[in-house]
Amino acid sequence: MEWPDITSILPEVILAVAALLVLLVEPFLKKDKTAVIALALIGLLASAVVAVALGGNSRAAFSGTIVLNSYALFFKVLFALAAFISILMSPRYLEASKRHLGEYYALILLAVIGMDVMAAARDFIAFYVGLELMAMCSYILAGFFRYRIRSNEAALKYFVTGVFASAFTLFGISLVFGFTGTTNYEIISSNLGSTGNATGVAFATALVVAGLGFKVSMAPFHMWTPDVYQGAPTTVAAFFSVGPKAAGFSAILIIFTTVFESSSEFWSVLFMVLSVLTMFVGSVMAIVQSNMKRMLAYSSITHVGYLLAGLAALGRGLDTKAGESIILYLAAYTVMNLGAFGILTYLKTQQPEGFDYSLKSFAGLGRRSPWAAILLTLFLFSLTGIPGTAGFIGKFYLFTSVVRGDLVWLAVLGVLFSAISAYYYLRLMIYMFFREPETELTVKEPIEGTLAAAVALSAAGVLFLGLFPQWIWDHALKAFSNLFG
Amino acid sequence: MQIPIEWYLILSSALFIIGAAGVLLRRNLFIILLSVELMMNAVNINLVGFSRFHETLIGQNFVLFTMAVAAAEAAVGLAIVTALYRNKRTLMIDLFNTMKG
Amino acid sequence: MVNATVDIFIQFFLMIVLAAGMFVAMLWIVHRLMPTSRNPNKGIPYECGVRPTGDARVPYNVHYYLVAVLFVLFDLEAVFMYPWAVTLRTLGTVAFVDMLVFIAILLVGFVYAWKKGVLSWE
Repeated sequence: MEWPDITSILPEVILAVAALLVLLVEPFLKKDKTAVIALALIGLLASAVVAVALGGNSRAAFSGTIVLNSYALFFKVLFALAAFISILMSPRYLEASKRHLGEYYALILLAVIGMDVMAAARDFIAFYVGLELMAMCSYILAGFFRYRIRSNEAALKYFVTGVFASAFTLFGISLVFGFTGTTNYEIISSNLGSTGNATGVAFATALVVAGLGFKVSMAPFHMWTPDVYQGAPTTVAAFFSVGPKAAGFSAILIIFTTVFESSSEFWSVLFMVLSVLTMFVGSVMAIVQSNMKRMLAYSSITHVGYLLAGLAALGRGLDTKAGESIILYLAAYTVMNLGAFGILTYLKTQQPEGFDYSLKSFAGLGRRSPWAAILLTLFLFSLTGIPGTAGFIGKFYLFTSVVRGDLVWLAVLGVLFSAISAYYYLRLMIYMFFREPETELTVKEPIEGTLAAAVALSAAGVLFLGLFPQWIWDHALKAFSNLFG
Repeated sequence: MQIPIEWYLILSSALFIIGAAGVLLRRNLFIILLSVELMMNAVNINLVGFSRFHETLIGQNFVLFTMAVAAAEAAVGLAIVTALYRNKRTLMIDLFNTMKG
Repeated sequence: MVNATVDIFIQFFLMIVLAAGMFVAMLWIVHRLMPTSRNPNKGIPYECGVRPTGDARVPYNVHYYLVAVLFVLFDLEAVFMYPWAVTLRTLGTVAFVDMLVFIAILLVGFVYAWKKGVLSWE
């Protein structure tokens, strides 16, 4: 046996070493967690830098189970960015919640490894292990506030629905293995088309869609999302709303364009139906929410609906550029959603007891803390899709690709639901600037420290992607040009 | 005599459906955890059966990974259940309803 | 060959779904039609007799659970060592080093659990 070439998993190795060091150092620290935080941030940075340095030419390792190409690179950098921002906004919040433990950072790093593997895997075994690593860290993070019943409940709901869903995915994978006798994506895609069993392939496709649909919170498998976001720590909810979703889509894009290529007509229709359903459920439920964390949860479901419309277009052919548009949208969504959650985190750190994320508690924020209100407005504009922000660019490219796939009606529906989403985002802005608070709330200090860095990073990302979309589009094109590499 | 592949498939699909029904219908958390394990093991039977059918070792290889993952899952699940039990003193899943909407 | 078998499997699955649907439908119809009387006395273990006192299930010390969970984890990791041990001679040094890395990662977990006081019993 030859020595394996580990250069293509070097970013993951760096993250693993950082996570293990965090776990080793943590028990010896007293109160001050700076060392652990620094270690986690350096690990993330180093892994992203190494990935960029190595990503120039594609490489595969372990008999083609893991690749490092521009597609995997795009997602590695995206996941590292999401985790970086989430970690930056965490210390103050965990401090304020009186539960600041080093394990938190190790768990986020381990989840990022799982997500990286999901995007880089070209074999179902590696994919499954990555998926479970990510999922297991998420379950623990959701229940991180061990003494709060809501956090417990969030963890429980996430866990039960999560393992249920992954059992379905696994059953679908086992059927695919049964059809083809292998777990390698490339070989499966050439074997599966020739088996000629359309019903069986459709059945396996539906099982995998159901399982992965749970992870990306696609209707009708979205029920856990609002409860988990509400119960989990806010910084964790921020991470959940972007990381696992992007990872789920990275895997869906790969699996459905290669493994299930032969049944693309079937899953294109499937995603059409699911897209309409998801956008509808997300929008309608977001309107009636009074808790802003739940509102963001439902709005994130709506965003998944837009992305599913892109997948439906992707089933109509690769030349629709839907795959590129989806990964561009994921990048835009990551920065804007993290920013919005960052502001919520800031408000919670100011009033650990008084602030309950209700719409009322945002009244008069424009006067109390103008910076927070202005930044939140920026992120909400971006989530709505106002021109000049990342959200607009994402939606523009995505719906253009949907039109290219001859699904004009679906694009029109998407724009319509975006208009509805303006209602529930703008309502929050009206509360911030034009409503007087019933009880006078005060903020103790401006946004500062690492939290300020996190919010500033998100805001810069939103504006940069919104004003210079060509840069990210070029990278998306490059990423999607070699899926196998 | 070699056991036909259908027999494995019938057993595994029956186990999988029993497990899924258990997750959806039972109210006790421990039973739900056990049902999930049943679903995973149904998949394992599937993988091993297909592995024998195709005369390849990939399926058995996969089973080792699913088993390890299932163990880790059980550990996380038990930890969550223990934390919940400490706060709530019950394991009946329909009593966990502080969040709605 | 595969297709025929998997076709059978899918037919079988459909049959199971139909059977399960029938079962649920019957339960539902019975549930709707049957007369019910709700009385708290029906729920206690002995409907006519002594009232039970206390709980039959005494909670154990939480340490039992922690140790049990750790045991499950470390026990199952050994599953990877059996195939490794059988083929070590043919695989050579590389497999040996791989296993050392694997055990080192497990060791970090063990040290962590130790430092967190999971293993101390009072």
